[in-house]
Amino acid sequence: MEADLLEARRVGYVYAPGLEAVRDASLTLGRGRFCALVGPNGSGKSTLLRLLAGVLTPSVGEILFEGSPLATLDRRRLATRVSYVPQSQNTVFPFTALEIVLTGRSPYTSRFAFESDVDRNVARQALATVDALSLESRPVTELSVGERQLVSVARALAQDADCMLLDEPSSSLDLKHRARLIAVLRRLREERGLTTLMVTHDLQLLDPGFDYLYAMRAGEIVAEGAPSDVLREDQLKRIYDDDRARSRRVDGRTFVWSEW
Amino acid sequence: MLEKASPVATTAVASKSASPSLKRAFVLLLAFLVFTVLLSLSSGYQRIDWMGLRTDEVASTILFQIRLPRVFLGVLVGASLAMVGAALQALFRNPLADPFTLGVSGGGALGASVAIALGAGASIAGVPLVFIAAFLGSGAAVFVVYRLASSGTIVLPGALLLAGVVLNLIAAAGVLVIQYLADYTRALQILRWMIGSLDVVGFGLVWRVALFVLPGVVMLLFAARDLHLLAVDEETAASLGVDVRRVERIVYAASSMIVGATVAVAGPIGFVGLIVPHAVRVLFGEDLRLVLPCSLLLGASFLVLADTVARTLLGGGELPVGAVTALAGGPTFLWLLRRRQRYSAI
Repeated sequence: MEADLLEARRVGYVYAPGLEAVRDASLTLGRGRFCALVGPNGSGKSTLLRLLAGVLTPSVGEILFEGSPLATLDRRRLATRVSYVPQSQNTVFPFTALEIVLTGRSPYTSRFAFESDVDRNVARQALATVDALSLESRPVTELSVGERQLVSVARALAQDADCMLLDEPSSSLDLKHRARLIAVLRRLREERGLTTLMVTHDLQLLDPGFDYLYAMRAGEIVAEGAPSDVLREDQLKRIYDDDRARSRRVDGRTFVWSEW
Repeated sequence: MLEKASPVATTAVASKSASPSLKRAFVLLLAFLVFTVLLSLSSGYQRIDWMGLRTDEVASTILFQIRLPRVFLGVLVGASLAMVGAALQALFRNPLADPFTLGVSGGGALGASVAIALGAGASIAGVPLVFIAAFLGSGAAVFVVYRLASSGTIVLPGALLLAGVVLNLIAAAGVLVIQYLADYTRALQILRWMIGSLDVVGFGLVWRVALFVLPGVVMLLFAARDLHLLAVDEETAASLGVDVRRVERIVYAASSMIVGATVAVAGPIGFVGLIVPHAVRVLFGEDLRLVLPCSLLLGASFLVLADTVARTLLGGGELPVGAVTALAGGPTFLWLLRRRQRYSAI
């Protein structure tokens, strides 16, 4: 049997004594799966994603990529396989959007070289894919939060990896760009088997569209399964500790909200 | 294991040459450096008759024993300090970071003062203890900054600079105490040295500085790509395969070596590390792989030029070069502060 692309095996992460962000979490990302990670604020979603991306090292347990522990792999080569979009990029210096996207090509570029014209084309294509080519030569320090998110996603696309880990990439995007992002990721799955795990609070996006959902609460994975299962009202009440959570299926879509 | 199943289009093709903008920047800056060096060599109280050098022994002594070593030292100190500034700015993602504002120069100054007061600096020229003491001082300051920077996951840029200010104050107080306790001549020596000067005779000391500085420069150039990615974003850099802790260690080691050696020989010359990288950014863009080597060249030109001004402005007398760089750098710092307020990134 072929090993899963990315797997967390009973991982835990402690930021400081008494500050345990993730506890005993296991999840598997099969090749070509389109998955989401949901849960209340501070439930450990971003930490788990960072652990999977190798940005943090688990305090207990291990992360496996194609069956091998992340700690044993060459990080630059891993970066050609797994890309990560952080929640926010606070770039202080006025790099242009294209320069930012070009950093996604760095795993393919040797230490003392600059990116080639081919790399520049890939980067511009990535910007065009998320409908942001017009931002190409704008300093990112002058862009809106949503525009920066698009640039950040384009950077990860330019990285041309098999697996994308995204931390709330759509939180500041408008209706159209939000849908477009999902469409792009799904298209890449069809075209070349991209595997995706996306942290999101945007529960409307999940069903239909995503294959599988993981839900976290207080550092633990408390539910997983098909979107239509995890987004059931009783499940949501438990995950979000919210009696007012509501869920309805209309025309094959699940709509989720909380009464106030 | 890590090979890609299906390389998607791009990877192989096309030669990856150095960017043309780097070549252009290099030619320009190199020409400027040659110009400033020649200008500096030919200016001074004593006029030099270039044609009569072979026969005129006074002129050739002045040129080869006084001016040439001094220009060389200016090149070394200016180039390396500017580069350290660029590296620290990238590492801390803070445009106001430099050896001076982070207190690294202050630490070096305190170390060197101790050495001078203990008598090792009776003649600063050729005394290695001053070097080592300054290196230790800079290293200690770097360590404190490092501890502050890595105590949480996030460094608040304000807190970092505030820590630098406090470090500088502590170091300055320490220097004062040492001056007060030291005997009169040594106190005066410390005072003279604190002002900052490139005054050397012969090449002996210059080589010794080079021994400390050049490895540091090579280390920083080696880390240029990683610093570029770090300047964009630390988390992203880590996900792109940058070993962040290793880059930090490289920058800290290189900065203490460079700042220690330059402070020991020339005193704390401020603001070179601040304004030169910013000038390079304005001229040639943000890419650190460009900013680092260009800072090297422009830093050399800047300090040699500042020293030429310091030597010639008063006719026969000499201004401290540290005062010239501070007079140029102080206002630039304030201007940057104002500009950053407008971006209000943090």
